[in-house]
Amino acid sequence: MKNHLLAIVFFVQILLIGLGACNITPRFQGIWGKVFAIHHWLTGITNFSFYAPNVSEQIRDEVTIELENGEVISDRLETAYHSRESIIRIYDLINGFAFTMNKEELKRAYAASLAGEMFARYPRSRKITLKLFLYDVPSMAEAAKGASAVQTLLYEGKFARGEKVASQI
Amino acid sequence: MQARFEISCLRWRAFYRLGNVATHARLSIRHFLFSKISSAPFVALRILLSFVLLFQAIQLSGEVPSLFGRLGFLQSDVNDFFAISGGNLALASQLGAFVSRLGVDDVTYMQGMFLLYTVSLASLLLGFGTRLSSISACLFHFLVFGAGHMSSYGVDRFAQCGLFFLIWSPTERSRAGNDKKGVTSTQNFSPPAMALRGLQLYLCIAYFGAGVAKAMGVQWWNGEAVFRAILLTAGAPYQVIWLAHFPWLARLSSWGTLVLEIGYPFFIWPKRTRRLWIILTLSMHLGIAIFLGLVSFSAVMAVLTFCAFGVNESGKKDECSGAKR
Repeated sequence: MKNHLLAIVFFVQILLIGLGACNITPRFQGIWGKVFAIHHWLTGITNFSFYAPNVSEQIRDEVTIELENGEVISDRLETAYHSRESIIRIYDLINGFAFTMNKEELKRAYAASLAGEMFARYPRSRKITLKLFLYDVPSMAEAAKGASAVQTLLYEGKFARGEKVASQI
Repeated sequence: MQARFEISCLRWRAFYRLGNVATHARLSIRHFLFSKISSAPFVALRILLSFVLLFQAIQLSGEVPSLFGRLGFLQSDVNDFFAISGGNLALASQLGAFVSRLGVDDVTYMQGMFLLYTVSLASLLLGFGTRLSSISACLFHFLVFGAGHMSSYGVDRFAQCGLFFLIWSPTERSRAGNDKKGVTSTQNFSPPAMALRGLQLYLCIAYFGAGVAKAMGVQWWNGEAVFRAILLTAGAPYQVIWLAHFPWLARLSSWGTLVLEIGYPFFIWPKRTRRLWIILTLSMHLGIAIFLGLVSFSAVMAVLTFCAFGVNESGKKDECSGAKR
């Protein structure tokens, strides 16, 4: 009896992993939704579609900081992080901006969050301009002819300490 | 009358065969899940996985509050929005908020969670209270890495899975409890295969799913995917622009990845091809570590494949080559 129960639990778990791989996640409301969400994270269920179906462009950043004394310096979000493991995660965070593209309020909040990181890094900063670029590499055929990577401005936001200022493109 | 009798006989024969099939299936499942195996795969998984995750933890040690905390790089409201809309739970983050109401600041909370996580991993590596250590490592991994939904990537899910299956893998103590003589040596320890089978099937689904998802994109067929992955992955150590002059090499690598991943569940089980597929899989992850710079991810994946399929589970020599003794 115990073995039968264990076998059932086992195959349900395998079924859920299979559904996760097919990007089918049962959605429940309320407590069952929470139980399912915890279960999926705790057991590592995901859709496994890394670098798939294609390898997409990346988002790169450029930050201009205006200090209280008027000095202007340039920096990037990832420069304060040293280990490769952290840098991979910082780029993941920057690339997460792509998910905000159709939601203006969320886009603004996301950019403000990134700018907030720079305000914390430069306590004497007054204004920060955050630029995010869509970075892409040419095809192999174009690269063989000498083409190089291109950057297209995706977002530009200006943030000032203590006030809500923004100009977006 | 004769014809009716023959049909009736055929029906009974079919039922009999069906019954046989059901019995055979039941016995096969019982053998697959509950047959006794060597503890070596679990021991290898415990040691190697905790070692790799400790190595990863050392790399992240100074930057945990910033990467995963509520007041870190990405503020909690934005992070939680993506966590919830993605079908995940902002539980880890909500727990941080709850603790902050008790007067514990976010940095202290995250550092505390991370410290408990690393202590659990160290304990797991050294084999102290392996069941308790694996439960706490699994839980604290979730509380740390699950809090930073947007900063987590593939490695976190696979590491979580490995830690989860470690919880269910039997420990030496459970054997000692059953042993009348009280012998605690691991040599004759034969736990049921279920936890290992779970991990094996998880890996088969993961590789097959990843391979099929890649096969749906045109870049994996014309070789552009490998070229783009190397040039676009953050932290990739080499800018191999020269690969553009050898498109056949990129195409070969792309096709090789597809064959390896889609073929994983078909070639990793048969004893004749198992060793070859393990070597190919480990080689692919070595390539990912070198050219994409995803060292932790590659190490975790290599450990999972090696422990699930590469460590002899029967306790006999030369299992992979099929030469049983």
